[in-house]
Amino acid sequence: MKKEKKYQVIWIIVMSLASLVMLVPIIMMFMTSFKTMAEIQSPVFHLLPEKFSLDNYRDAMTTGNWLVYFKNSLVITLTAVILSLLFNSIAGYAFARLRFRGAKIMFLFLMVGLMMPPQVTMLPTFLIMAQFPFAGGNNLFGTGGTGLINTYAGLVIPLVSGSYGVFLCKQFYENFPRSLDEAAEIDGANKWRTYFTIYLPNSKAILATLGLLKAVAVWNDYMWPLIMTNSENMRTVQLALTMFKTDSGIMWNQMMAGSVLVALPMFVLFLCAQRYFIQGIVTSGLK
Amino acid sequence: MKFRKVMCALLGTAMILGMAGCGNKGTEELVSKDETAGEAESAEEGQESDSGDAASGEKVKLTFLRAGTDAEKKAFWDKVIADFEAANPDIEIEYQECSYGDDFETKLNTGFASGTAPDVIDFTLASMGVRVPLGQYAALDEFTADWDGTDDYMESALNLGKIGGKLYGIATQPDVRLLIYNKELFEQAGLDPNSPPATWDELEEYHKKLVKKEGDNVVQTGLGIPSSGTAQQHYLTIFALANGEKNLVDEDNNTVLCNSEKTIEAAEFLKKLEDEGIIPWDSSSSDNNPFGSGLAAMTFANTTDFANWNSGALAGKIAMASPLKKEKQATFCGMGFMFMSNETPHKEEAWRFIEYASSADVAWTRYEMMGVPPVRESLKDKYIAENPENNSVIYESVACGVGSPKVAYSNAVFNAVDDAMERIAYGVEDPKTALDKAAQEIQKEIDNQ
Repeated sequence: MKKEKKYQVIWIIVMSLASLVMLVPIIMMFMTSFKTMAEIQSPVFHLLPEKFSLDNYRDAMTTGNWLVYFKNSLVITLTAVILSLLFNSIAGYAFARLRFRGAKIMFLFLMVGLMMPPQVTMLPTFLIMAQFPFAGGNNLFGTGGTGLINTYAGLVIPLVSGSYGVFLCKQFYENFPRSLDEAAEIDGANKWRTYFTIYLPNSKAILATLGLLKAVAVWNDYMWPLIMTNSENMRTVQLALTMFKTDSGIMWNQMMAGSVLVALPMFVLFLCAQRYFIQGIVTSGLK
Repeated sequence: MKFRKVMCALLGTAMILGMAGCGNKGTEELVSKDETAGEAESAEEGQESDSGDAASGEKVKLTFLRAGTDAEKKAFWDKVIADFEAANPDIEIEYQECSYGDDFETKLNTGFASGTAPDVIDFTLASMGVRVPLGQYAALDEFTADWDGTDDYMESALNLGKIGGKLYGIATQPDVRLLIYNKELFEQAGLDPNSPPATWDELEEYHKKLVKKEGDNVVQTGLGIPSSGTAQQHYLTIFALANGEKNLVDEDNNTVLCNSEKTIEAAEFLKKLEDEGIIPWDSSSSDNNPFGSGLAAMTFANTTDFANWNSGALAGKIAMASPLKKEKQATFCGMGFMFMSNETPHKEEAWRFIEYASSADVAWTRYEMMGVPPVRESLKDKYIAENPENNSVIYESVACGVGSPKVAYSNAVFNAVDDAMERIAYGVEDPKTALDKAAQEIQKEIDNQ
């Protein structure tokens, strides 16, 4: 018992230190957002600002059209999350519950996607979007226009599916008892109905987990919007933060204020979905 | 059963689409364009497209991508584009911007790889060494026969845009390193604030007088030489150029010059100053420069840094000095250029935009809105008259300025020399050993090209 307690104390200390390491940059970002540039550049470092001022927030938010940037990020994130949850869970259900020819090979191919770094697929994906037929002035063969470049569709379509999401859903649905399917079949429900009336309503935990992971990934994504958008009215919040990087250096005070505001929605989202998130990870066997 | 079929079809289609993306036409086009430098194809497309647009009377739409995302420059480009479109109603400019560094490179790489590169690009001198050999920037000589800039541009600025005798970039924005000094600290050290150092010997003498120590600690230095960071190579370049060296690399024949006798002599001189006493700083950001906090009496910095310091705590206390001289008077001068994509089907229109954006009128607007020194001889007197004390020094510095070597391996040069200078600054190696090692690294990179 004593030994167990000792281990517990060591464990708490280690985890507290690890948490501190994670928290320090966030705390510094928050504190820096209230400092003046002179204070940031001062050779003497103080964690707390000399005077708390919201000027940086005001200045940051009046540089550029942040309403548009937040709207863009929100539209892209919401659409990508909703569609990806739908597609991933349907595909996960199919792999978990249906027996069809080539299922194993298909799943194997899908798993290859998990091992592929996004940089490898970025250019091919960009080309598909740029040569999307009948979009942005393109003809049937995908030439003549700009395709889906600089559009919401171009930003969202490549994000709505993902190997990780399908894998997670498959694992989750495999834990469901077979008797559920049998009962549904006896009641005359086809596979679509079984999925929508039995599986989907019981998937809150995994959908919350996936939704949260997807939302954070899409909201924080920098590279894809960077290459897919080229006008200010399509700019996302992450791209907008680069406005504080000028020829004469980085305006750290405004950059940090902007970063706090940009991180806030995801912080709130995580707090709200935290319970489901942990539950989802546990029940899908990915702990 | 039906559901299974639908699912199979959906999953199969998704996989086929995924695989199609990995081997589609665009990638093949990229290879072919890189191999042929895109010239023939672009020219044909250009003719077809131009004639098509002219026949239909439609506006030609050009995309213009500029490096940087700051609001001040955007306001300038908004004005230039609006004025250009008003004067050229047959052309519409789609403005795009992206922050400097890797982001800009990624954006350009993706554009060129997918055939969606911007028609006109505002970017740096360093990009020429990489993108000209890849055939991504178009040679502009065919358009410059009637261009007034040929005779009016500063020779140094015009030459910076050339590789192998061909003109690829039109210089618009000099980024010159000026010798800046603190008059107040000069006076405190008993030096004449109106007589900054002009030679290496004078610099050494001033530096010694300006260094202040408390015990072993240096509390004030003369020349604020960086001890680490990405701008150390600029300092070495400045002194190597003044010592009569061509550059860190001879771009004409790929000869490494960073360990030449003259460059080593320059590095030894810097080391001598460092041994007198410096305040270590990381030159990756000018925010770290001890000159800004009054701890260094002299530094090399650009006009933007000067303006920032002169509007803050150092207002009225700082001044600019002419470039130092040993064998010759020289300094480092980066440059922003207007480039034309080799892939554009609208070369004629793209040139009209570049010509307009580099005209004397726009150069003056650029100066008025952003303080960028003009690179046209016709504006010299007007420019100097605006602020005789500072602008004469800036103009003189730009005129004798030399930029980074325009080679595909320029990043290797920067990294190797920065590392060497850091080892020298911290006394890990003597200048000759460190620069010989840097030269070996650069040579390896050249051999791998």
